[in-house]
Amino acid sequence: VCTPLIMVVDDDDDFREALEEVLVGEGFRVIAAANGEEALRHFRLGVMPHLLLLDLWMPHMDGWQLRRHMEDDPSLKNIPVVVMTAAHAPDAVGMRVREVISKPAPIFDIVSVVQRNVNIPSTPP
Amino acid sequence: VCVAALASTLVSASLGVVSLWLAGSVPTTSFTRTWLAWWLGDAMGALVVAPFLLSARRAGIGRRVEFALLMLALTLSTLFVFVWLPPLLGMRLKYLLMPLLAWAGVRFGPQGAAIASLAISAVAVGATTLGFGPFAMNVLHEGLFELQWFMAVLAVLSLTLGAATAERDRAHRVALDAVSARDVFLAIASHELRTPLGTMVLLLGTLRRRIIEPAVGDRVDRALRQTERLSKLVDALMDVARIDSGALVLDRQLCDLTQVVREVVDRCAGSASRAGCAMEVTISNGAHELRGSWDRKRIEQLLENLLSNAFRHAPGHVVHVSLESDGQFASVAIRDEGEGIDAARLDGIFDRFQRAAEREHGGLGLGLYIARWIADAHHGHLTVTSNPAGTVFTVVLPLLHDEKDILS
Repeated sequence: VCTPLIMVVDDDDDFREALEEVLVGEGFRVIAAANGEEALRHFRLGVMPHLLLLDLWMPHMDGWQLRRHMEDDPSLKNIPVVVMTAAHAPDAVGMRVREVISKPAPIFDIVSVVQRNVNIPSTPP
Repeated sequence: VCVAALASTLVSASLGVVSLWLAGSVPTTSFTRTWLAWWLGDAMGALVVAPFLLSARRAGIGRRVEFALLMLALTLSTLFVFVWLPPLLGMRLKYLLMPLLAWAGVRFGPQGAAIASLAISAVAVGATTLGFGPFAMNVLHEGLFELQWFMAVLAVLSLTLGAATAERDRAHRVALDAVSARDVFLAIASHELRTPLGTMVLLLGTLRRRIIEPAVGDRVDRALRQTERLSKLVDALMDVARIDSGALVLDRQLCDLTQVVREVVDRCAGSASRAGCAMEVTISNGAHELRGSWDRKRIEQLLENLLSNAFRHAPGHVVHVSLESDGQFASVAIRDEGEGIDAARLDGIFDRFQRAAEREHGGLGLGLYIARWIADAHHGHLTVTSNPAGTVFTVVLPLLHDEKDILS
């Protein structure tokens, strides 16, 4: 069984890096993107994460737009998505996502949400 | 429009009557009266038609129907007063047209008032010219003169009402725009304040995991607690702002209050022990499972708030949490063994910024205000009783009687 890959999409560099450190410490592989466009570039290069941690308010392409793109694309549709936002939680209402984490959230909460929702990879991505 | 209609028609009336007088059609004796009739007629025309042309705009179906009804009522009433009723009775009842013109002004603005005045004028002038109605006199222009006075008063009154209504609608729209700008600002402010807090919690958390030296670890823990405190203050401020703008809504789901209470008590164990408090939970018979359609996060917030208040006001004492149910409502009572609250202060205890004004225990004093809002929003209530042996806060929430309730 190979290590699950988590994609972190967030425009806050410090947050992204700290989260990457936490998730790597928990035994995950991590790929980061600063906005929806960067995430889409990763997808085009064939990156298939087992979970996507998605911020909502981002420049260039925000979380809602990226989610719509993913839903329109059959190959991306089934990637589990967890929204992680400092925006008011009801902003994520109506988005088809597994869970919504409100920032600030303790590390323990973030890790348990990730463990609950990550797809366990059977074949290398 | 009023000034333009009254002033510009002075010219036409003067020129017209002077030329008629020079031609000998108007005798010198009735010059003033003719001029007044001419001027009033012109001014009335401008007064009635100009706002109608200036303020033409789209209207919905409901308003069209209402307007059609108004016009029907107006036409019938005008016909009654000016044609069908005997002149003497018409003379007395002519002021009954006023409420209809007021209706036109208030509901349809200057445009409505203008159309209504125009309709009445058309029927009234026609009738009077043909010798019907209260203004029909032996000399035609005398009758028309009286009629125009009457119509001028009605039109000016209804146009004024219409203008005031339009002004009020404009102010209402401006206020709505301001509210929506405030909501946008709130959303951005909340996001911008919480983003750095999220990063700080994460950075401190990663630091905490690496630290082995206890003294440093303890300081990181304190920094984490302060960050948590700061984020709760930000949340409280944002909640209050949303409550005030009506933007705070519940996210109801089926949940068990007993389980929620247990989880909150567990989660507050750390802050209880820091305050030297023990928590004693009593669950009465029949309260082992209390199901309701509640906003779980908000109920947790309410209970955490009451517990942290108890720790703050009665450090070193036992805090009693008891759960009861009467089948209709569930109640959670949180009792501390503090010194109690003065009756004078108890009155405004759920008001905003109450504690901030007292400056004894720190905090913004928003917690109880939000807690009461949460209880009220669930159609429950939050009450307090206090004596020198302690204070009890009781939250009462309606239980779910039928599983189908949750669908509604």
